[in-house]
Amino acid sequence: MNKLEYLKKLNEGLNGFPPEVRKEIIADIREHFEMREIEGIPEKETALRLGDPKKLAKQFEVSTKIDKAKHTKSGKDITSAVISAAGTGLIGFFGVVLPSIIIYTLFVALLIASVCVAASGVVLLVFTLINVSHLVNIWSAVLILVSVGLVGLGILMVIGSVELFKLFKKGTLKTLEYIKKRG
Amino acid sequence: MNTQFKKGVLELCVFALLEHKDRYGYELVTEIAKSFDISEGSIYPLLRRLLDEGYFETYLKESSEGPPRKYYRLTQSGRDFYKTQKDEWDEFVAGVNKILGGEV
Repeated sequence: MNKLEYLKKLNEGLNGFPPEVRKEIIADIREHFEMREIEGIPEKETALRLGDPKKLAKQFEVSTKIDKAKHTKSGKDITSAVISAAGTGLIGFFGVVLPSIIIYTLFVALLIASVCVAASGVVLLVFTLINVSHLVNIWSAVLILVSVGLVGLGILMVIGSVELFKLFKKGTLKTLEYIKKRG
Repeated sequence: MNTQFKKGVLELCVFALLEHKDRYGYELVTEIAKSFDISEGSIYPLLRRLLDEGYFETYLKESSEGPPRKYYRLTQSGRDFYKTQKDEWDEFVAGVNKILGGEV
């Protein structure tokens, strides 16, 4: 296999990567070939020493995936990480899985409560606006003020609980990593 | 050799090579390939991962022969990480040597 064939095969194997990352990887390997050429080593031998291009592409994929799991933003991946921690024995169970279940439940309850607060504000606002002709001016003003306040409070609570959840997620990941290192 | 184990050792070697001077990718690969029987390609994914982790940073530097080269440099977090990894390694080796030497 010569340089071009090798780079082509590697490039095919990297099709799961964003184009700019792919370009960088190809450039690194091309540089490797060029350095070898300077030393007078034939392309064929360089390709042989580099190893199978398909396998190399796979290695890039695997090492990037580990990274992705670490910097993940979705709760789903964290959930699967927590579940896999269940297999790490007693520390895993009492240190991560049990508290996670409790905190997840509390978080969902908090989120529902926050949405309810915001929703009650909306309902009150609609009610006030519909009945505005039957209400004394001062009362409609107070009711509008209260309903807007409720909506604001609800939104703040949603933001607060999401932030709290993020913090908890970070802590969970740290604990998981710690357990992984010790295991 | 166990792959996980090998990976960890290769990683440690890359850190050690970069501790006192910056090197370019090809240089790191050939230095390591001299000492271990590995496919040379496998160092590149390792470099990329450590770069993504923020342990290394890269810069381009002109060379007298051929195109500009991509140099790798340890960051502070890379140095800190290397120190803990090396301490762990030293402790591990000391333990193994003690047992192999029949001291236990």
